[in-house]
Amino acid sequence: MSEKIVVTGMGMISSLGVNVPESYSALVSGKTGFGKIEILETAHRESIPAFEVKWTDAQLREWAGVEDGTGYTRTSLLALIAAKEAVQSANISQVETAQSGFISATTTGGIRELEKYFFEMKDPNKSGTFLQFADTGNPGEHTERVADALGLTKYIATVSTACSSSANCIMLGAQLLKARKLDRVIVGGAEALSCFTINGFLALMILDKGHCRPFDANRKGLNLGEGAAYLVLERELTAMARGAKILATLTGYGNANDAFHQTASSPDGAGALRSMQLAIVMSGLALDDIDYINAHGTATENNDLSEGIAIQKLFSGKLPMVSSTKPFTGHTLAAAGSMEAAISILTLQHQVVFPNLNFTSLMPELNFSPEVSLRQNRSVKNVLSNSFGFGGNTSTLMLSAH
Amino acid sequence: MESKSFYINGIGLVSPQQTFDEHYFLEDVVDYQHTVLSCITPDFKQYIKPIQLRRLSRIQRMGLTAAAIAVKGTQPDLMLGVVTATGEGSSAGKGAFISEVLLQEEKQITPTGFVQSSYNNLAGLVAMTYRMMGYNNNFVSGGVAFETALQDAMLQLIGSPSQEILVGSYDESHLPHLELDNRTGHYKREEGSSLLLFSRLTSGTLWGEGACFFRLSMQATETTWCSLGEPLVVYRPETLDIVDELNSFLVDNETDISSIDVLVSGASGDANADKQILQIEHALASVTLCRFKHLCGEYFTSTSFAVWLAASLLKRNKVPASTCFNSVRPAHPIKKVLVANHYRGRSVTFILLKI
Repeated sequence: MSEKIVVTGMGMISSLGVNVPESYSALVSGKTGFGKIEILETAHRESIPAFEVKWTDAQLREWAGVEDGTGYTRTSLLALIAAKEAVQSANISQVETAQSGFISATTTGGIRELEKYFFEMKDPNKSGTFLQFADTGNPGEHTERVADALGLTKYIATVSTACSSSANCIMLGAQLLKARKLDRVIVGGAEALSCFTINGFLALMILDKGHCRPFDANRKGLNLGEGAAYLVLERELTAMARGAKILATLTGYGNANDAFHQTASSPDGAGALRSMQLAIVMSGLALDDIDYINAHGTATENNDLSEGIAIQKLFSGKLPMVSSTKPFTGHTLAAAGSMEAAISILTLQHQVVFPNLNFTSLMPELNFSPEVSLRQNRSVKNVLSNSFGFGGNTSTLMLSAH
Repeated sequence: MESKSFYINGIGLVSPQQTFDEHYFLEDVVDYQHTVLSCITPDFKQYIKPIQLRRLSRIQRMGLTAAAIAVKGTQPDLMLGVVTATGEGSSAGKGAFISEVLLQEEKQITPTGFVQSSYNNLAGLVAMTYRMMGYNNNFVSGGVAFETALQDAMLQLIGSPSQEILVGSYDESHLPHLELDNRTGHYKREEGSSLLLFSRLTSGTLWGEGACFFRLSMQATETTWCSLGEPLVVYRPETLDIVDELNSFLVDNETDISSIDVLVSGASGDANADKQILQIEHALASVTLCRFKHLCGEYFTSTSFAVWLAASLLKRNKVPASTCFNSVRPAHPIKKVLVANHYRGRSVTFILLKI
């Protein structure tokens, strides 16, 4: 019988705010991070909206406490800010922090800087301050950068499974704790907006030029977002021994593959169904015990159909509350899993379900509607959080009140 | 903490030598004159269905071929899942997509390069090809990406000890990006013989590539090559005594330096980066020394080549002359091989393989 894994710290930066309290107050008051792109230099500023952190890199460096910040990509800065908040909220000492593992996710890492200086970088006759980014183009770099800043050396890993990445970091962290490879682990993901992703998703024709509408019959695609979120995980006994404040329990998780298509989910939701089932079985909970699903709900034609069908199959008629919070944060890709885990924990802490904004019409294939307005004073004890990615990866977390 | 044992039951490796051929063991090795080493590829049609083949990029073909060799004769859909690793993903795909976005000023962009450079592309491709609906993960942990994938695969096996799991890696060298990737001076700037890598006095190493898959289990099978222990990764080794770290790793594996038959060393020919690895070679001076980066070059996931070499030494009980770098005659039979690799001196990895 393995021990319970608990969450003892969390940090988050997104278009909703620079920390968890700011994010919560935005979510509860219905304020979203949706808007025009103002910081990233892109030809699509006028045509493609996004959920941007409205801080320049210089401002982020200051907030992160690395004013000179040479070589810090925007992804690294977002990661460091959220990881620092997570460590602070877990109330662990510098020594305890140094003994922690660190698992971070990204789909782009330093690509934002690489694309900005690409031709200069390729021309050996050019030099300049851009050379600080000569070695930051690989996705694992941000993890090492943050680990170095926090003094972590014990176990450092970077995961990239597209849009399910940071959910997989959380799962791996829990497994390392259960196997007693670590006593504490900081897990999550970070993603900066880039022309690379905007144009990639635009080319795939899955970006909505308006505000995204998850699970709506007239949904037109996703909106991209940026940010970072990290959790601190510990075994329950370790956390209790040091008198830590326990934010939630990670009661289950599941990872599967849809094995259907590189960039599309199966219409029958096979992978999604399997990862949800795995998480539920591990948690030992009954379907009735699940109060709320924080859906992946990207608002693409394909995801919402596949995920919706899987939810419908799994709960056959007696559905828990469902909402996608992507209309608040945008799709932050590799950071989405940990960000939505943090939002799920806010749901458990405050007993409030955040609405699925912009929903008006039921999808013809589905027999359920998501929650369209803020649900307060609900008894929410167990939350399923889904994250699905390109490459067919499907991951589900079960977070429960402690 | 006692280290658990795992078994390697199948390996597929596409590398700058003819390693995809199961009868070949580095007898005639290719001497490259350039800093960038590229894989020798087989006739892909023997491994990949034509309808699928034409849609795949070069690195996808190499990766899927390595997987096909590793799973030959098995039922991959019954496996626990697939875990992959890459440092940079498809360098060519990523570069092509960034160029397209920039040169076309973000107009009329096609998604091919974007999709092909998704870092978990190969994990998805292998799962889709072999209908592997189980565990699926991908690591991009820089120079220890393969090590972290291996650790994850082992964790998964501990949870399901009766199954097999597929773990692999890929990285791609890309000549048009040599200047871009060499701003930091990690690669040699002059032409010269790759086989003479360790006698060249200039700084930097060679840029290599490779795609590799291993089939692992917790029980030996008819096709088992050797056993494989859990890797130890020492991050930022410059602050530690690396030989102490090695000794405690060997204690955890219930062995010591005198019991090691062969050291597979990841010396890269770059004196700055090789500092710790040379200390390890020195500590194991009485052990047969094999090196490999003159054959495959340096890349984020080169540990997979080292593990293939170590497993091959054990399976074939022979040390190819092309890999041998001291005059210590190997024990007969070869029973224990230590892999000690590093990436740019930022991390050192130890892995123990046994018959």
